[in-house]
Amino acid sequence: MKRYLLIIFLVGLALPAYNQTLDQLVEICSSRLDGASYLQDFQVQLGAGEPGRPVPVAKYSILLSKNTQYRFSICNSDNSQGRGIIQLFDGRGLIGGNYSAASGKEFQYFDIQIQKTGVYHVFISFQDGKPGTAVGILSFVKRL
Amino acid sequence: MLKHIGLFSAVLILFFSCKGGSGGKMGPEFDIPDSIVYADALEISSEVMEDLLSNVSSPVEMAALMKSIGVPFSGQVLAPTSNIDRFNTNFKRAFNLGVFGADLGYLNMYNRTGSVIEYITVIRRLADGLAVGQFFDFNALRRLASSQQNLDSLMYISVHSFNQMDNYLRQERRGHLSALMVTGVWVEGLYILTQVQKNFSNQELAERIGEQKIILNDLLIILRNYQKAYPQYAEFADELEKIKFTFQPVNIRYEIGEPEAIERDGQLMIIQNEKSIVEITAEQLTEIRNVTEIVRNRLIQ
Repeated sequence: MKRYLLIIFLVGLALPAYNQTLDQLVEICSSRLDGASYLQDFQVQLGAGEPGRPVPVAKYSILLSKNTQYRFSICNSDNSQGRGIIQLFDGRGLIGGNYSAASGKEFQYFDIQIQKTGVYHVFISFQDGKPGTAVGILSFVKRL
Repeated sequence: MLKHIGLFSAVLILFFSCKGGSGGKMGPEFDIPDSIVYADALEISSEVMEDLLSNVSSPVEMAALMKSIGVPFSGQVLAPTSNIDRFNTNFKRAFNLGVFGADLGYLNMYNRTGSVIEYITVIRRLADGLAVGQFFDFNALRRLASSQQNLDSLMYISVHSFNQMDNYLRQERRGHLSALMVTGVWVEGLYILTQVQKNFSNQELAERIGEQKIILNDLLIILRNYQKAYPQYAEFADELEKIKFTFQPVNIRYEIGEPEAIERDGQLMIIQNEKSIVEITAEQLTEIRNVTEIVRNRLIQ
């Protein structure tokens, strides 16, 4: 009986704590937008990739509008092992991302000037397929 | 052992039933039972539906466009809050939550903080009626609107609250209500755009209106997908089909180009060279405006 009560107690403690962490991360990340306006967040928690298999990726669809500059930011949770990568794709392939595997350069965010209204895809993964927790933020910078 | 399992279940039920926080009670379910039929009735997977639902542009962007090209604020285009007592079903609550959400984005962008309080009050009532009021930080919004300071925070909390309500509805297998909310945002956004365009002719505004053709097709796929489970959605989608009909002659073409990446002062900027071009005439705009006005006014009654 005591064991069940202990489990219930631990579940009760752990669930709100987990939610709070991601919500707090959204708030922290949104406060670092350098003047851009928050539009949407992508909360991601991925396990480790398996050798010889594609790196785990979280995918989202979004609508972006012509003549608009958007910002794609990523913030890693303090306890995340992997560092988050945020990338933008359209139907033809990769448009941009905050990390270049070739140069090893990493940016906290990248801006994009959109000239085609349509559906795009946000991919969030972690460098080297490590497990990780991160929040991606889409924000509005300005009309062009 | 059975006694232990029973006790364990009872405490878990109690725990999870308390998780809703300060949200109000569920309203009467005259026409939409939330919890049944969902999975079997859908022909499109919930994953695809979620993708489609994400494809409605934010009222913040719409209002930013109007403000940036110098469109003056017009309170007359906003939905009246006096109809709130008529929104006594979850169907009406969800749709009008979206409508008022779009109006709130418009008010926020134009810093009309005096009217913001009136709109957040009705939004809270609707959100409580749908049991998602716990995600709408009414007190923080009222404080920010009253002080007329921290407009960025006001904007952030408004948009974030709507995102949270939307996410929660989908997680709780109430995606049909999320679809209505998103449709409400879209209908009101289109209504505001077409109304301001009447007195403020501008190519960008015209293009933005024409682009809605892309989104409307997705919205109709979503609504039609729910009509088997909820017959009321068929009638609702029929109304939107009237708007769709006016968009048929609008042409959208694309010019292909490769993106360029520029690094400046340690910041990365991507420039897209692929373009969409909307071809829409003045007559088409008038037709879209007239039909949208009729449909929107009927839906907010």
